[in-house]
Order: sequence, then structure tokens, then C-alpha cells
Amino acid sequence: MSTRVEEEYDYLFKVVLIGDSGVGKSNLLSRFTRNEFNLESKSTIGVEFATKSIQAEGKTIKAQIWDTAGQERYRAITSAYYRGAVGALLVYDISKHGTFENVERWLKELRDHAEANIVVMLVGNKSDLKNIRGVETDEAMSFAEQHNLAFIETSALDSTGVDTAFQRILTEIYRLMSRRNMAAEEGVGGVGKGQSIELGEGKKGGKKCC
Amino acid sequence: MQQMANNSNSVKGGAAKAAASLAPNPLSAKFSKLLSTNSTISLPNLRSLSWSGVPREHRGEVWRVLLGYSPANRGRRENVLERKRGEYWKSIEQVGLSPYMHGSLPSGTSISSLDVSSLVPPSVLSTIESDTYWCLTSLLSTIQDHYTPNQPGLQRQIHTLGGVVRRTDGRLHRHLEDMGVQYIQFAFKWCNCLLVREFQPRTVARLWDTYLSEEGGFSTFHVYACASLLTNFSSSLCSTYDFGDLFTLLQQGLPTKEWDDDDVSVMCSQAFVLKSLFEGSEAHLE
Repeated sequence: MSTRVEEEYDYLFKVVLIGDSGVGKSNLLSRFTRNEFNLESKSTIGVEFATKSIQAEGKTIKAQIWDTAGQERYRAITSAYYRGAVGALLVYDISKHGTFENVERWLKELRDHAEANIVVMLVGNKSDLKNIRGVETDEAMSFAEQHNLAFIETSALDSTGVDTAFQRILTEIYRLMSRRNMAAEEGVGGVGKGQSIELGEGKKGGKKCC
Repeated sequence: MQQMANNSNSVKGGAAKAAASLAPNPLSAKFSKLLSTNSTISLPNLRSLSWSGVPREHRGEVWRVLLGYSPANRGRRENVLERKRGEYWKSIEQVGLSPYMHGSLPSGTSISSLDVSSLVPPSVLSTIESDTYWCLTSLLSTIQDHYTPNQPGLQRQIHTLGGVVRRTDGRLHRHLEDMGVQYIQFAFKWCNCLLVREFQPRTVARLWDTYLSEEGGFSTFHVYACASLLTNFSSSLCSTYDFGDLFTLLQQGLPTKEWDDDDVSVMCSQAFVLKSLFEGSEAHLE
């Protein structure tokens, strides 16, 4: 395991998965990183983690994705994991309206713990459960617009939208970062919110040798 | 029977071996003898015998006794168990739940879609359920602040774990630090789920035999078991230099699912040594 050749990447971005317990965060992660889905997966305890590299605009981006427990009782532990995150997938279950209602609370948690300029995407998971849908696409979409969030519906079970969701958020993070860097190089004052230039900057040309 | 068990170490030859395989094994016989006493089961003896593992056929009874649910005194046992089982079902009625495994199984698990009562007589099922409830209650009472807001007991355990590893395997401790891996990131699950997620269920049962026999098994001994577990993989952890790989190794890459009872026994012995060294001398861990 430790002997394998380090993959080369241009940027390393940390993305967190948040949302209520049981909405499918862990399965989104396993579908994206390992193309696996487990109908009987156990609830996440504390935090889990996986990586995957993608191509965006000619760059290799390594995504470090943190999967956090959705249960209230673990929140004190998981809040530390927002540190350094440049993206968040805020997941709800399209068949359970309650999980969508809680999205506001998760947004507040992000405001309290994450960097101010974190890119957030609202993800309506379990889109395969159309026949028991509890959250209309329009409702979620207008909520996303109102709060300036990207939005997508996915199904970790049948893979619909999963790659697209990660691809989009990572590309968005990359663009945002490039714009900030460019602005900084041009000497434009007051970049972003002032502390974001190094945010998410990876180790160019792969991992440096120590 | 007991005589045969006592002699089994000295007998030799194929015929004797064949005979021994039909008879209960010596360890099982020792438990039978201890448990079948007509007076009071000796708890110190039961603990010291169970510490190294309880045979499967005796585990249910031994755990009930070690957890203080089933009285060691034979004369009291039946009455107490009957009363407690009755209390459980009465409270279930009062809360208005319907019988069998109340909310204890997540929806979608195979057992909930199965009519368990068609496989096991209802009276047996109801005894299992109430006994499970009382045994778990008793176990959890020893680690209550693991599961109160902010989980202080758990945070304390993880802190102690860091101290023990720093003192006993400084190289590993520094490596984790250098790589930016925090104990809470992997040991949280170990402490929150009492290593249930790390081992096969039968191996967890073996581990818990020791926990239940050891003073403060879940509240203190567990920390040393975790330290022993972690340092056991010291060389592969210390030779992993990528944060992601190291984290993944700690989270799901340790081959503990392949461990058998003997591996757990070794881990427990190491844990016992660590506990003897450090317990009660917290200053050494700061």
C-alpha cells in the first residue's frame, strides 16, 4: 500500500459531505471513488475519507473527500473536519422532505465552521425513488438559487448524476481559485474575502519529495 | 466428566484422542463445573477463567453473571431473572411498543424483514430480548459518559490513548503527528463502537470476554487494548508516507477482520501489561 507510485496531480481539494443521517452520503462517496454501492451500509461513525483524481480544464485535480456522520450526537466531533474544506456537498434525500427542511441548519453549520468562500452544492440524492418523491425538483432548485448554491439530483444506487456532481463542484472550485490567483497576480487589491488565495492550492507537479 | 477433563492433558494415543473429541473439551468442562454449583458462583474464579475467553456454549450464561444481571447466588437467580424479565415487558407495554427488537434494528436489515418468531419459539425470543436489554443496560452503565452530550468519556479515552502510544511507541506517535493524523480521526470509532466495527462478531465476543472479566474493562482496559492494536501495526503505519494512504489504512485497511481468537488473546495480554504500567499513574501520560 505504501509502496505504490504517487500519482501526479496539480491541485488537491478537500470536499466534505454533509447532510442528515441516512441520506446516502457514504454511498455517494463509495460510488464516486470506488464505483460501489451498499444497500445495507452502516451509519458512519466520526469521519471517513477517500480520494479520487479527476481531469478538469486540462488539470489533474485530486479530490480528498471527507464523509462525516449525519447524526446530531457526533457533531461536536466532526466540526473540526470543516477546516481547510473548499467544497461541500450538502445532501438530502428526495424521498424524505424532513431531510430537505434540515438543509438550512446544515448551511448554518457551514457558516459557523467552514471558510466563508466554500463552494456548496445542494444534492438531492436517491433520485431512483421517484415514486415516493417527497421533494419536488423545482422546490429544491429555487431554494438553491435563492441561497446561491449549485444544485443536482443524484442516485448513488443507479449512479445517475454522481460523477457529474463531483466533476462540477471540483471544476467550480478550480475556476474560482484560478480567478482569485489571476486577480492576485494582476495586483487587484482586496481579493475575494482576503484570505483565500492559498486556499486549496495543491502541490504542483505531484507530491514533492521530502 | 470432570475427571476426564483433568486427565486429558496426560493421555496419549489415537484412541484416547478420539474419546476426548467426543467429550466436552477441558475448558468447557471447567466452566460447566464453576457454573453448576449449587451455592454461589465464585466471581473471582469466573473472572479469571473467562479472562482468556469463554467457550461459546457458556458465553450467554457467563456474560449474564459477569454483568451482574444474573445473580451469582443460585438460590436467588430464578426469582431475580423472572422479575427483571417481567419488568422489561411491563415497561414495553407502558411505552406502547410492540414486541420483538424494538427499534433496535435499522430498517432494511435482513432480520427485520424476516419473521424471527417462525424460527424461534416466542417464549425463548422474549427471554433473549429482555436479557439483552438488561445486559446492555448494565454494560452501558460502566461507560455512561461515552454517550452523553459531547461524549466526554470518549474524548478522555482518546486523550489517554495518545499518551500511552507516545510513551510506548514514540516513533509511531511522531509519525502520526508529522503526517497530520489525529487520534480522534480513527480512534473515535474504536471507542464509540468498542471495536465492534474492527473485528468479526465472533472475535468481538472473544474480546469482550476479557473486557467483562477485567476491572473497568470497557472504561479503562479498552484504551490499552486500542493502544496494543495500534502499535501492533506500527511498522506498516510508519512506512506509509501519504496522508490519504495512512488515513485509509487506519480507517479500513488494518487486517483486523482476519484476526482470530488467538490474535485477540495476544492483544489482550499486551493491553494488560500496558495497563499495569500506566493505570493509576496518569502523570506519566501527560
